[in-house]
Amino acid sequence: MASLTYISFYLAIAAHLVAAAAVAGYLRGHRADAMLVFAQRVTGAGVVLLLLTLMIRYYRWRLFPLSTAVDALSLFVLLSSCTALFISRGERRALLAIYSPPLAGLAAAAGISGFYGLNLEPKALSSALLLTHVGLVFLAFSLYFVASLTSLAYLDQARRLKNHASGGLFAKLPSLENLDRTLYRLIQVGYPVFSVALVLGAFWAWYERDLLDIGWWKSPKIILAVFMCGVFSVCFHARRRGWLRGPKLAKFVFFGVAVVLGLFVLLRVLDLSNLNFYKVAG
Amino acid sequence: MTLAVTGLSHHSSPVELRERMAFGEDRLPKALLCLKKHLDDGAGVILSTCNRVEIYARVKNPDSGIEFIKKFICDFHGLSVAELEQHFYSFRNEEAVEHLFRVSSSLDSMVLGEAQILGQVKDAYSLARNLRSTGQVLNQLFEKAFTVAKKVREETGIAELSVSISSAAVELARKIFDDLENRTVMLVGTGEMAELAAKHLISYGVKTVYVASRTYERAANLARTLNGSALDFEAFKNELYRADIVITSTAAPNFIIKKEMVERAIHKRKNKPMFLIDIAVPRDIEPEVNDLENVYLYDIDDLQVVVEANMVEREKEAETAMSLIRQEVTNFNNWMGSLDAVPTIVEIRSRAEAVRKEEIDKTLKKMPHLSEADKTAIQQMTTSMINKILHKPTIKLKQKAQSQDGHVYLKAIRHLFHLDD
Repeated sequence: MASLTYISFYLAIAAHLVAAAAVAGYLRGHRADAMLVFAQRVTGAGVVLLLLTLMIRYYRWRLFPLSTAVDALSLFVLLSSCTALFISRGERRALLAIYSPPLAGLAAAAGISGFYGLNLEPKALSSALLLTHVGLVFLAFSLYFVASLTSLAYLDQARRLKNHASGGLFAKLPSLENLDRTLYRLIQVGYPVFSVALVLGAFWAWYERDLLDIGWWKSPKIILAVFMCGVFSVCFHARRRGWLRGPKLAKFVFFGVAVVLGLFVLLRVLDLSNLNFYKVAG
Repeated sequence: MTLAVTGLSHHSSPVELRERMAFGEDRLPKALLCLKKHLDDGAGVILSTCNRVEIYARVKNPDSGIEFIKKFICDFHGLSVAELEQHFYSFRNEEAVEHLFRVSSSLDSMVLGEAQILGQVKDAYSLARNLRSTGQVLNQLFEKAFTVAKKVREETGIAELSVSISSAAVELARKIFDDLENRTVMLVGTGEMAELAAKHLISYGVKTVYVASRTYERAANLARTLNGSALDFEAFKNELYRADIVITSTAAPNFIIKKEMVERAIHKRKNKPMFLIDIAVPRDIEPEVNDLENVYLYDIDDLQVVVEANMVEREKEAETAMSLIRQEVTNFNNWMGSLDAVPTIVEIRSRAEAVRKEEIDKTLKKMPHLSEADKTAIQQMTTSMINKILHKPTIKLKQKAQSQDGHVYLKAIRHLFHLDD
């Protein structure tokens, strides 16, 4: 079972890296659409293999694999890749050239953490409510992550049009309006998903209040989550009313996601994300 | 027989000469019928467009054949060969095949990647075919040329990028807006280039067109042509927010569209993007307008740069197209080579059949007691034996005939079987 986990996991990582290499080939060639189609298929294979890895881990430990770093990264890569593949269908296929390299980077990070953590037993998530909350948070983060990459594509396209530049990916990316609409759709879906996740989380916190510190709501990860919800609330409502559109929205989304995700990673690395969250025993 | 093409084009002759040498549509059938009467195998195709006049044919003697074709073209138009000799070019065999493939794929056109030439080549071939002026080789050649042209268009980007100002404007509009179908275009001024750009946009689905001009009557006339609405020149400033695409082409000496005007329009449009094309010289739109968010301003020089960049990209795609074409030329030549093997194969089979028949007749005469069924069985057996014995050598001979030393194999076979006795 352990070997099966490693095989499927590292094949998934390899698939993402191969997809990124195919994208590099696509960017170098003028008409290498076949490379892009190949990258799509290989990314799809990577998604299936990651799902298989998580299923094997669940089957092995009878616990949902969501709590270790490698599981978190794997799930994040899986959901982000699914979102990326869904968006880059048909005429938006060229967007995969923007999505694939960062996904490969994340997959590589997951691969490195896998050396240490793939065989570890996941921690039990104490209830279905918490499980749902965590799952929805991951989904929302994935949507925002892909939104931030889409905003990069938008900003590049807009910059080239402003500067009257051409060539490279410019010729292949969808129109600005298409990118703007894609960005908005991702926020439209991600914002309510994240809001529901926060509500479920608050519910869980009330239900399991005996486990939590009295000032759990001041924990860094909670503050950051609320801040992120605020950022996307602003994006959603301002875009709906037309106050934020085009480059402004793209910059807001990109920097918002970059800051929030960066801080989440930092908290995790410094082991501060659960500071003042759980009640300390004794 | 040698495959040859002779003619002149925009590369080798000026337009004044080409227009005198062109075969008009009404005279083309007569020219073809006259040509095929004098050609060695009665097969020829005349391609006559505004940029080229060419005749494709199979000739026994390439030198005299090509001279004949030049004379034919000149005599038909009442001109002398000596006068036009320097403008003619000719290609033979492999070069002729490559030339046709290049022409059909628009690699030899004045505008690289243009779409009309393939249709023109198809029309020329269709007419020749209807007049039974093509043979097996020319049929295969032209059918192959159409396949190659399609492959070049599908597998390279040679036809994708715009190489005219108005199509560059459409291409840029499509980089900004997802589809042009529900867009509104506003023309300020009634200049010819603006009208052309607007027509181009309309062909891509733009439905709503406003035209503003200092002279209302001219605006109304143009609006009628474009199926749009005319606007008073002063009113357009208040209606600017309605337009997704604005094309200006006035003779105004100063800027008529200023930054504040566009800022107000963008605000009223709730920051939906606007594409402004300033075709006028001197410019109609203040350059600082481009600094506004969600506003993209291109003047005539910017569009020209886009066109030139696209031409460079097309040149690069042309190199890829040439690799494709060279491969197809090799394949076609291999097929041509296999044709040489056919008469030899037919002769060998005829000889074998003659020997079989002679021996069968001799044997069956000595066996009168055999029933009809037995005689039929023996006939079938001997036929089957001949076919099986000759099957593999036939396949090999066809394969070898396509190779460089195919003629050596053919010569050896003909010698071994005494086919030339």
